[in-house]
Amino acid sequence: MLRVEDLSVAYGSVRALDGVSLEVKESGVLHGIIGPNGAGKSTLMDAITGRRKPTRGRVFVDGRDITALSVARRRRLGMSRSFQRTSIFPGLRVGEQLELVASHLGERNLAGIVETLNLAHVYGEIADRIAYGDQRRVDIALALVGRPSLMLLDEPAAGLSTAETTILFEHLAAVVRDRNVTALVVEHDVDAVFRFCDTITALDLGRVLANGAPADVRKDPRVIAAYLGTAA
Amino acid sequence: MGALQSLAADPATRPRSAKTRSASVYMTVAVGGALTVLGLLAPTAIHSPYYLGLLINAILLAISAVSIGFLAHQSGLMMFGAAAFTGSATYLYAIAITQFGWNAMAASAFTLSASTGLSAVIGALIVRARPLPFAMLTLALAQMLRSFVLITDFRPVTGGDDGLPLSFEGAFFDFSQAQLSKPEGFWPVAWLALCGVMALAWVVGRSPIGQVLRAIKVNEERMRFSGFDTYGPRVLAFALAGFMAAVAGLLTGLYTAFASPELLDFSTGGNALVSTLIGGVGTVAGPALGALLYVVGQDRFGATGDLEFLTGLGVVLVIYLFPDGVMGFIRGAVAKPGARDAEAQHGGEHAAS
Repeated sequence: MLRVEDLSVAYGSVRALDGVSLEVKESGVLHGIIGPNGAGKSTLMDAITGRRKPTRGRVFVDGRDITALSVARRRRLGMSRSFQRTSIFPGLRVGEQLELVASHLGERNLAGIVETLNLAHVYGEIADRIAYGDQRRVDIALALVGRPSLMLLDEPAAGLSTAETTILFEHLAAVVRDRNVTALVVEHDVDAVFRFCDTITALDLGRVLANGAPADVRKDPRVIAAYLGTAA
Repeated sequence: MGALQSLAADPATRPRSAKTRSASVYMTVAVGGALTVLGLLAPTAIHSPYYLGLLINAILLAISAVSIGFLAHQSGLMMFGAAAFTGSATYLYAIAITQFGWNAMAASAFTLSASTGLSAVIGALIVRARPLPFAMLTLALAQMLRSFVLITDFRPVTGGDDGLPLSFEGAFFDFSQAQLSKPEGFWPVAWLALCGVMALAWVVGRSPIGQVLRAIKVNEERMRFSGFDTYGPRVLAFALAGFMAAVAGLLTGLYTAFASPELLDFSTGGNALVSTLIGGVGTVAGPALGALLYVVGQDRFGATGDLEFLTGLGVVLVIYLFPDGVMGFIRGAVAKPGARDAEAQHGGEHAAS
């Protein structure tokens, strides 16, 4: 499904990503990316989706090297993302923006997305006037339109309460299961990640600390030392 | 999308403006059509050639302002150098007549197609720029073209600082040059051109490409991450704006039978820019109204002998009092309080006016 090989990104002399390699083999998987601030999580998302050009390394989706492709081209090939800071179309109504993207990407089941993400009650509302939690779900809905095979979600629960985060992750798990889409999720809410994700990659200082099942990552001494602490 | 149709039909989820949208379109088309017809009759009501000439000047300025407003509203890009496209169109028309010996119809077709092509090429080079550098690039283009027509080596073609007078034989549609040089003779051409340009801006604004352009304007990155090409539509919008500005330039050539270097000057583009700001960029009609107010104000202020001072004062006051332009103020005053905020947020609805 997704293979990242030796991915490196540098900001001047600072290496935000330093030879990261990871692989998500199966579809329909929720894969969590965790790590402390500055670990390189969002940079990894940017490099995979083409928002930032890697200084080294390659990205493969379904065996195809997409490293040189544009963001829009990657999207049309089935890679979508949401952003750490909600990225919707502020002046447009929720329904209008979803329909705009759906018509462009040939999405036939927009109603299903609206229903799955519980957006029916805000469908006719102007997007920047609805509740923040609803805006986050609009952001995810925009990423879900067009039946992507791979979604990258950057802190989808940022700014949400614990209860809202749980609901959001339940929606995500349902989406991944029902639509057989693979989702990479960067998230600081460790409890939600360990509860809902099928596999997890832990990063620190731009490098992979651990990779595998939640139970294995949670026990990894390097992950505990760098991120989870003794509370884990 | 059957379930979506249910969503759209459900009063709880239906966009609030959907039920009135069709009625709004029909109303706008009906009012626009009626105004187009009524406007043709203006010379029968305004007998003074002076005031008719003043209104024609307002129309020429309005077309440039509509092109600026169109680009600003659809793409968020403000064109400081609209004079590059109006002035170059006048020169292209004059050169086609004087150098190529073409008739007015052929010269006009050449002018509009060449200007649009030029706009597309220039747009392809500069629409990626951020708004302020973009504005300055268009200004630099106008100044560059102005310098170009003044180059001594090109004087036989451009007329240098003397400008390029022209005359054509035959007819532009059914109008001779003698008829077009008179306000009452030129009026129907100018009026229909203004209505046509405004209709074009309105139709494009309501079309799928208009929706794509406004979505790019509010969040270009999300559009790219939604699989859209964000470059092509902006080039298209720029080319359309260039076409509209070229219509104003062509009309100037037809009306004045003269291409002057002043047409490429910053002040020419500045007049259109200020008109756009006075009227407001949120609607198609706003820049046209701004142009009318600007020309009338210039006429009144000029009579006092303090033209520059009063113009500056007036522009500052209008922009201070009406930050969304005069048309934005009118719309806000007319709209119901509940709908006002929604309208202010909703760019697509603005384009409908």
